[in-house]
Amino acid sequence: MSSSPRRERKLPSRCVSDPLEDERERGEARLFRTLLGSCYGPQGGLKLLRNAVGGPTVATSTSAVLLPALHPPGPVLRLLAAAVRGHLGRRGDGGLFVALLASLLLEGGWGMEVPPGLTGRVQGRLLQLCERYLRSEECACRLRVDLGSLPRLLSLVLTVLGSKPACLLSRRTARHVSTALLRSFLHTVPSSGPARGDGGDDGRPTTVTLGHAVLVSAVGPPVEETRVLPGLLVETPEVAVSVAGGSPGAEGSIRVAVFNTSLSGDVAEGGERELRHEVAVGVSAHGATLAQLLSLGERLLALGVRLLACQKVVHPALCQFMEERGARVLDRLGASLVEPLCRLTGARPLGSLAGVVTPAQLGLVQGTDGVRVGEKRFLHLRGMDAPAPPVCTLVLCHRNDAALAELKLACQAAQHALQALLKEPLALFGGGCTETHLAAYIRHAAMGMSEELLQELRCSRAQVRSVASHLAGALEAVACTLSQGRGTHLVDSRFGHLWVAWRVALPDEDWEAVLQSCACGAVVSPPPGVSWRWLGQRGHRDSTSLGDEATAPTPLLAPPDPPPSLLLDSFTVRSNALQVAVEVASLLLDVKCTIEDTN
Amino acid sequence: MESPAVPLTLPDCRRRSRRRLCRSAGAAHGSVSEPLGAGAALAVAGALADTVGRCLGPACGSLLFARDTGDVLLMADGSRALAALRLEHPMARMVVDCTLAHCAVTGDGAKSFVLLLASLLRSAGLGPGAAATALCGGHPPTSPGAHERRETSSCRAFAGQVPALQTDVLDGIVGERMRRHMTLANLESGRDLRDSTEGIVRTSLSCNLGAAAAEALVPAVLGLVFPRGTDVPRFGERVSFILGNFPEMCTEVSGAPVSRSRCLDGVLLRRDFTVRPSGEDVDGDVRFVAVTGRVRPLSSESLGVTWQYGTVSEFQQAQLWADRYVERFVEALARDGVRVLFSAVKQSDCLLHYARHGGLAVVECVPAEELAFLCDVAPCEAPPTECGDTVARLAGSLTFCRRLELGGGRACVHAGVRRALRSLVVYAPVQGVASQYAAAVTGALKTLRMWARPVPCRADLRDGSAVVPAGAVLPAGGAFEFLLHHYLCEVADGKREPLLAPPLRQACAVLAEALLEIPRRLHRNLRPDRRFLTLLSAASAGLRARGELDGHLLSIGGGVEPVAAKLQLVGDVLQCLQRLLRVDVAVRVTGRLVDGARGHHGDSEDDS
Repeated sequence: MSSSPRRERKLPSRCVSDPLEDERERGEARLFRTLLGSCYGPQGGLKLLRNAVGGPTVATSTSAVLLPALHPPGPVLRLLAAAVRGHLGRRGDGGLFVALLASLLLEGGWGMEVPPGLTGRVQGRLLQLCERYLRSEECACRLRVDLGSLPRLLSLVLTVLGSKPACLLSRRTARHVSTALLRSFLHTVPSSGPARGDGGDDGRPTTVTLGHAVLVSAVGPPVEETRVLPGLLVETPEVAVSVAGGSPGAEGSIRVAVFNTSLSGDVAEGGERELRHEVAVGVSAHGATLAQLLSLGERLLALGVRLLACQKVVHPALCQFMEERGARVLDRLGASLVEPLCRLTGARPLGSLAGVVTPAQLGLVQGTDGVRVGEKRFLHLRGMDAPAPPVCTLVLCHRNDAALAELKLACQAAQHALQALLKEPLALFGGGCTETHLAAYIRHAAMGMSEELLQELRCSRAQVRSVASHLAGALEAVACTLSQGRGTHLVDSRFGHLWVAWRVALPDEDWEAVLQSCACGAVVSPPPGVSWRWLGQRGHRDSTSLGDEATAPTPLLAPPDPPPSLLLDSFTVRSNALQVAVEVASLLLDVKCTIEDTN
Repeated sequence: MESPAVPLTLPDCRRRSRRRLCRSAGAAHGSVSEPLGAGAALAVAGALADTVGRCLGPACGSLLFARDTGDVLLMADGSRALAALRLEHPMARMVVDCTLAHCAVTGDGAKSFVLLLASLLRSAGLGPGAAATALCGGHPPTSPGAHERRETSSCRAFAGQVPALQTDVLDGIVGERMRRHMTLANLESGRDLRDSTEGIVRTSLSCNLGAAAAEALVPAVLGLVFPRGTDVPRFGERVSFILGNFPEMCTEVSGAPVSRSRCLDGVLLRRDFTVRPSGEDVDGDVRFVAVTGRVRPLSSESLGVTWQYGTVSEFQQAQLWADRYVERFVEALARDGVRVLFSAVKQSDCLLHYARHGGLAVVECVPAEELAFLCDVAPCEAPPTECGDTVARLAGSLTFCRRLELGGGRACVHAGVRRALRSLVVYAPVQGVASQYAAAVTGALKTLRMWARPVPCRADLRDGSAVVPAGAVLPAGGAFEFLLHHYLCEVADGKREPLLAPPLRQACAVLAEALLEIPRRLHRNLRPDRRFLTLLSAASAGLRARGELDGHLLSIGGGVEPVAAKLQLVGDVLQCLQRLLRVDVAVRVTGRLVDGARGHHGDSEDDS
C-alpha cells in the first residue's frame, strides 16, 4: 500500500458521556465563571488581552471584546459563549450577566439530587412564571420610564456607562458624557407622531423613524470636551480646509447633491458582461466617460450646487473642476454617512450619471465650517433651522485611546438601551436589587405551585422547591458578584431589595445604622419592622434553608417614591438576558454525551 | 480518554468481537480484505445504539457535537446525530445510511432503528439453542471459532426467513389482530383532525427537543399546518406542500429565547429592501414584478452582440441610451401600477436610482428558490409588455409588502398572499440550536404525512384493503412493540391458525424478543425507579384477561404515534439486517469509488 503524502488519517472523535461529571469540563467551567465574574460591574477588574505572536494588547472588562478573544476548548463552554454573543448581537449589553447566570446554573445543576433533565424543565417553567410576573402590572421591581422623565433617563445612561470601568470616568465626567448622550438621543426622536412606536417584530403598521446620532471619536482632548453638535461632521484632510477657506460660511444656504454611485469614471476593459464593446483606435473610453462626468458637473453647477457629496470615489479631474468654480467636493463618505446626510439635507441620493437632475432631488444645508477636534479636522455641516432635521453628532473625546474605544462601546450600548425604551418604556432596578427581588419571588412561587402543574412536570413538590432555591440562589450570587467579594449582603423581606453593609457596626450603635440605602437607591433607609436574610459569600449554597420557605412570605411591595436618581437597568435587555441564560443552561444540563472532533 | 483506532467505545459486545473490530479498524497494512460476520455487525450496531440510545424518549437528553471548524451543534434528533458522526467502520456507515433513508421517509425513529437493529442481531445470534444446533448439523461447539460461526449461521438463518416474516406474518398481525387496539382519527372532522395532529406533533417534538422548546413550537407548527384554524380538505397535500417548501417557509433567528417563535401570515424573504417602499407601508393590492437578470437593453452574453464605437460621441450616446432604457423600464412599471421589484441578482445603481425616484421598492439578490416559491403562491399573470427585453419576468399581486425587523440589525421582507399560507419564524439562543429546532419541525411534519396516508397491502392474496388505515395511532411509550410482541409470541407458540413452519416460528420468536428492547430502554430512561418487568407482566395479564391494552401502563405523557411509521420502522430494520448479514468480506480499495447508482464519487478513507 503506497501512502499518498497529501492524505492524512483523520483522528477519531473524542466521546465524553455525561460531560458535567467530567472533572476537566467542571474545572474549565469554574475558571470561566471566575474570570467573567471578576469583570462584572463597576468594581470589576480589567483583563489584559494579549497573544503570544504580537499585536495590540487590550485592557477591557466588556463581554463584547472579551468573549470573541477567549476560545474555550470544551464544547459546553463554546456553546455558552456562542449564546452570549448571540444575545449581545441582539441587545448590545448584558453579556456578562448571561454568562455568569448560565455558568452558575450549570455548576449547581450537577450537584443536585434532581436529575438534570427535570431540572431544565422545572427551570423553564419557573422562568415562564417570572416573565409573566415581570410583564404584569403588579410587578414590584420595575419602573415606568418614558421620555418625559429626564432624571430617570439620565440614571439609566449613567448605570450603563458606570458598568464599564475601563472607560476611566469620574462621577463628574460620567455625568457630563451621559448628559451629552441623552441630548443626542432626544435630538433624534421626532417630536410629533404616535406616542409609542411599534414597527417591531409583530409587524403592526405604525412605525417611528428615528433620526441619526453619529458617534465620532477623537483621541487627545480631555473627556470634558465631549459635546453634541447639530448636523454632521465629515472628516477632511488638513490641506482641503485651508483651500476651501473661501466657501460660503454663514450667509444663505448651500445646495447639496448627494451621489451614492461611483463618480470615478472607471470603465471596465471591454465593457461589462452584458454590454460588451470595442472602441476604434484613437477613441478613448476613459476620456469619453470623463467628458460625461464634467458635463454632469456643469449641470450641477448650473443648478446652483455648491457642495457635492459622494459615497464612493470622485475622479480627481471632476474634483478640481468643481473646486475651481467655487463648489466643494466630499468623497469617500461611505454608506454609513450617506443616509444621515440625506436626512440632514433633505436630498435624495442620485445614482445615475446621465439622468436629469431636478432641484427636488437636491438638498440644502444652512452652512459649513471647519471644526478641529484633537488632531482631526472635520467639516461641520449644519442643517436648516426650520424644520430642524433629527441628525446630530456626538463627539467623544478621551485622552487615552483604549479608554476611548471602551467609551465608544459603552455609548453604543447606552444608545441601544434608550432605543429599546421607545418600544417598552420600562426599567428594572439595578445594582442587584431586581435579581434578589426575583429570587424571592421564585421561592414564593415554588411554594404555591398548583397540583396540575406538578402533574404536568412529572415531579414532586420537594424537587420543585429544590430547583427553585437553586435558581434563586444563582440569581442572588450574581447580585453579590457586583461588589466583588467585599461587604456583607442582606435582603429585606418587604421589598426584596439588596442591601450592602460596607463596614462593621460599632459596639454602641444599632447594626441597622451601617445600612444607608439599598443597592439601587430606591429605598433610602432601612424599613422598620422587616426581617433580614443574610446572603453568604458563596450565596447560592448558603442561602438555601428550608426554614425560610416554611413560612409563606407575603407578596413583595414596590418601593414607594423612589428618588429621581437611582441605578436602573433596561427592561428589554435584562429580560432577554435572563431568558437566554436559563434556556442555555437547561439545554446544556440536558446533554448526555459530547463528541468532539479533534482534527 | 483518547480511544485507540476505534472511533466509539463498545461497551456491550463480547471481547472477541471487540478485538477483531479493533484489529480491522486499525492500520491494516498488508491485508486487502477482511471477513466480516455477524459479530462485527453486532459490535457496530451495539456501539451506535449505546451512543444514541440514552437519548430515547421525551426530554431525555441530547448530544453535543464540536466540529473542527469551531461550530457547536446540539442534537437530540437521532438522524442528525448519526449523520454528524465520523465513522470508520464500513458496516457502521451502512447502518447509518439505512437509518437516514428510513428517517427521510418517516421523519423520526433513528434511535429506535439502531436499538431495534442491535437487539435483533443479539437475539438472532443467540438463537434458540435447538434451532441453532439443528441448522449447524447438530454438533455442540468445541473449537474457538465455532462460536462465531454458529452466531453467524443462526443470524443468516433468521435473515433467510425475513421475507416470509414480512408478508405472511406481520401484515396479518398488524392488519387484523392489532386493528382493534388502534385509535382511528376521523380525518374529515376538523376538530378531531386538529386534536390528533396536536398529539402527534407534541409527541414527536418532545422526543426530539427539550420540553421548553417543544412547548413553544407546538402552537407555531399547528398554525403552519392549519392556516385557517381548522382546515379539513386536502390535509395530506397541504403537509406535503409545506415539506416540499420548508426551507422557504421557515426563517431561523438566533440570539433570542425560543418562546418568541411564532407563525406569521404570508411569505418571509430572507433579504431586506434595498430601496424601501416610499411613504406608508405598501398595503392593499400590491403588484410586483420578479426579474431574474440585470435590467439592460440587450444582453451581450445571450445574443453574442458586441458594440463597436467609432467616435467618442457614439460611446457617450450609447451610455445615454442604456440609461434611458432603464428609466423607461421603471416608468413602464410605475404606469402599470407595479410597486415592488424582486430581483434574483444585484441590479445596477442606475436602476436603483430611478426606482428610488419613481417610488418603486426593490429587493435584490433574492435566492432563486424563494423567488420561485413567491411566484408560485402569489397569483401570477402575464408580464407587462411595454418594454421588451431579454430578462425573464413574472408579475403578480400581493396583499401587503412590508419590512419586518428580526432584531440584531437583521430585517426581512414580509409579503402577504391571498392564499391561506403561513411562515414559521424559529428563535433560538444559538444558530446551531435553531437549525436543530427547524429539523425537528421537519421531522414532525414527515410523521404527519405518513400518518395521513394508509399503508397498502403487500401480498396479492388478500383483498385490497389497507394494512393500516389512514389516521391510525397508538399510545406512545411502547404500546405498538408490546402488542406486536404479544401476537408474535402467540404465533411462535403455535396457538394460532394456520400453523406455520418451525423456522418461521423461530424467526417470530426472535423478533418478538427483540422488539421489547425499545420500551425497555424508553422506560429505563424516563423512570429509572420503575421496574419494566412488572409493567410488562401487568400489561400482558391485562391483555390476556380482557383482550385490551391498559393505556396508562405503557404510555408516557399521553402522547400518540402513528402506526404506519412503526410498521415502516420494523420493515426497514429487517431489510437492513438482511443487507448487513449478506456481507461477508470488506475489501479495501485505493482511489476514489464511483457510485454508479447515485452518480457521484464516494470517499474512501480506508486506504492508508
